[in-house]
Amino acid sequence: MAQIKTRNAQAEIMGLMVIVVLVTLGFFFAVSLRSNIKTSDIQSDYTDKQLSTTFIIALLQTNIKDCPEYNVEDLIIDCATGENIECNWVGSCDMLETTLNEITDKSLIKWNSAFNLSVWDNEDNIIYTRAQNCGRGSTRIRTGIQPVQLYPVPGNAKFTLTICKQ
Amino acid sequence: MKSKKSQIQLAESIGVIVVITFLMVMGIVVYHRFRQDSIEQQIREKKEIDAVSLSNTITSLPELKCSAFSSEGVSCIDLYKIKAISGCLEKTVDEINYYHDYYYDYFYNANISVIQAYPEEKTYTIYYEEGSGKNIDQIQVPVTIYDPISETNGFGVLIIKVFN
Amino acid sequence: MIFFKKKRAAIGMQFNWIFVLIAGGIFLIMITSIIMTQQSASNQEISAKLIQKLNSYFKIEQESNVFREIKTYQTVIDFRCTEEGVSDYRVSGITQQTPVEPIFAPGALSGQTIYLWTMDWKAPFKIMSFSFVSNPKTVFYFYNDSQNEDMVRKVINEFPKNLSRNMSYKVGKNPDNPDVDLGETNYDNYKVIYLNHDVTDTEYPYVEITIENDMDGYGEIFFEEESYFLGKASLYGAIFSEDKESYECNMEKAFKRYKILSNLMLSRTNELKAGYSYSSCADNYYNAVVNLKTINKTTSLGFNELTEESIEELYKAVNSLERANDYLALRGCPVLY
Repeated sequence: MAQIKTRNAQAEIMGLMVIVVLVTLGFFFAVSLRSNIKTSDIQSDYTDKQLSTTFIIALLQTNIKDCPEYNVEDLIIDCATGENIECNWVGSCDMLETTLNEITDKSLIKWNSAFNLSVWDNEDNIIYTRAQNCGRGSTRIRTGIQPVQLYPVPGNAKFTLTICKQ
Repeated sequence: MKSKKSQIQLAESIGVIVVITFLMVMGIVVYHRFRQDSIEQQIREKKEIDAVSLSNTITSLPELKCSAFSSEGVSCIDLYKIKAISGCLEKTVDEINYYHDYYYDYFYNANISVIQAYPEEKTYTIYYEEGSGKNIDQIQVPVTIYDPISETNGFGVLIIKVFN
Repeated sequence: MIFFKKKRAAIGMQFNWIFVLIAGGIFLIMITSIIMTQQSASNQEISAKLIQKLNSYFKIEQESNVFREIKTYQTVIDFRCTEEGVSDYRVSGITQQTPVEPIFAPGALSGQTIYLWTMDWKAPFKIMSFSFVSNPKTVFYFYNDSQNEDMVRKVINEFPKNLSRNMSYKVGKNPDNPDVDLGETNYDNYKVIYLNHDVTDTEYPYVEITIENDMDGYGEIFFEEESYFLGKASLYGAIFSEDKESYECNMEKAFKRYKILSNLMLSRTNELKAGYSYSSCADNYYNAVVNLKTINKTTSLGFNELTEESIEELYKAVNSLERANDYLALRGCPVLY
């Protein structure tokens, strides 16, 4: 009888200990899981998302320094529809390439951004492309697309900027 | 035997109280840890939101924004306004204090500059106050830089660094 | 022996209860203090969230003529803007500084609803957004008779529809008997507005506004001392302000910004004048420079130093600058603003 009573008491204490150990383990896991939860990065998301759109919008309105009566949009239209414009004896497609190279050198390339900047005509032929670290193995974060009307020629040219993550 | 029994009973009661107290303290510690993490994350998010909000506000400030009837693009800033405002930082000590003090209440610890990339490269510092913060949140906003005299658009980037 | 056993058990039981009482009491105190601390922290968090929300509405660059009805928990918001340059608002003990934002509001607003109206202050270019704050417990009484009926109607018509529908304002000739129950439980703030009319004998706070030409012009304001307004937004600022001190403190913030913007504009206009010196635009740029110098000179003195002559001079310069800008736009020249 005395033995049974002792065993009962021991079992009671054991039960209490088991509860304490389980609860402690539970708290431990909760704290460690919490520290593993990924926090949102608002600024990075915003920068990447707005960069692709505002970059091409600003770029389209930029006037060409050797021929300020034209801007990038005019060169794209001309290059996609027959190349009539000449600026210092240079055709619009070559002038477009020079200008966009110069601008990307001083901005996206300088910042070491991973990007792909492309211009397509209305038949989806590439007129211009430049990329850095945005090939296989990289993730596309955001693509900004700006259509360029080719009126009176039907269809639109496309100006795209893809920001990637290496 | 009987006195030992009562002593054991008392010890058991004390033991239960100790265990319950331990569990409660553990619970409070864990709760506070969660709370602290949550508050730190909220502070971090708020600082990031403030930096993003600042970038949106700067491009619409009358001090920089293109005038009506000029270039109508998104994020257009006037070249001569940039020159005027960065020129104010180069004036005499008294003038610097006035402009700097005024904008400090608005921008706090930040470095705001415009880098013109095309047609020619030039950097204009609009505001600078480093403070003692070690963390830097940087936002780049491509902008059209409008020259009202030649009536042409250049390309540039507005760079905002917020020191936290 | 049996007697000793019973006594021991009885004593043992009492000690047990004492032990339970002490231990239980300690636990209760501990838990109660945790609850109180959490409640206080929670209240602070709610107040901080309200302040964060209000901050986003009190920016100096806002869409103009927007009305917002902000629902909140039962609270008191204290607004302060003093001669010494202290400018802030307080919600449940948490203070938010407002060193640059002009917020025209009564001293304290209590309740669960806040009305917020923003309006651009232009002179003639946009300088910044003014915020006017009110609540359902604020009453404006517009003194109205045949002498100033038109002006009262014009001022009231400018209120956004939602604001005038929800805001308490009365129009009449008897400000001391406004036909509303002005008991403390119903209303916090009551103000009498005299537009282009002499002050009558009233026991309530009042403001007398003399409008020289129209609401977009300039004029005198009399709280219990003289002040001035320039432009529609500052006229409404005088209506919504608690007193002269708070009105002038907020206008001082606006004038600081006015000074900076006019200086920047002057610098830019000088460049445009040099760049267009041989064109038909040149005259207008020259006029603009003269007017901007006048504006710069007047604003440098500060709002508190304005006199009747200086406000009139400022108004003329503003008008002239506006005309110059219009001519430039008509001629296809780069505009000033």
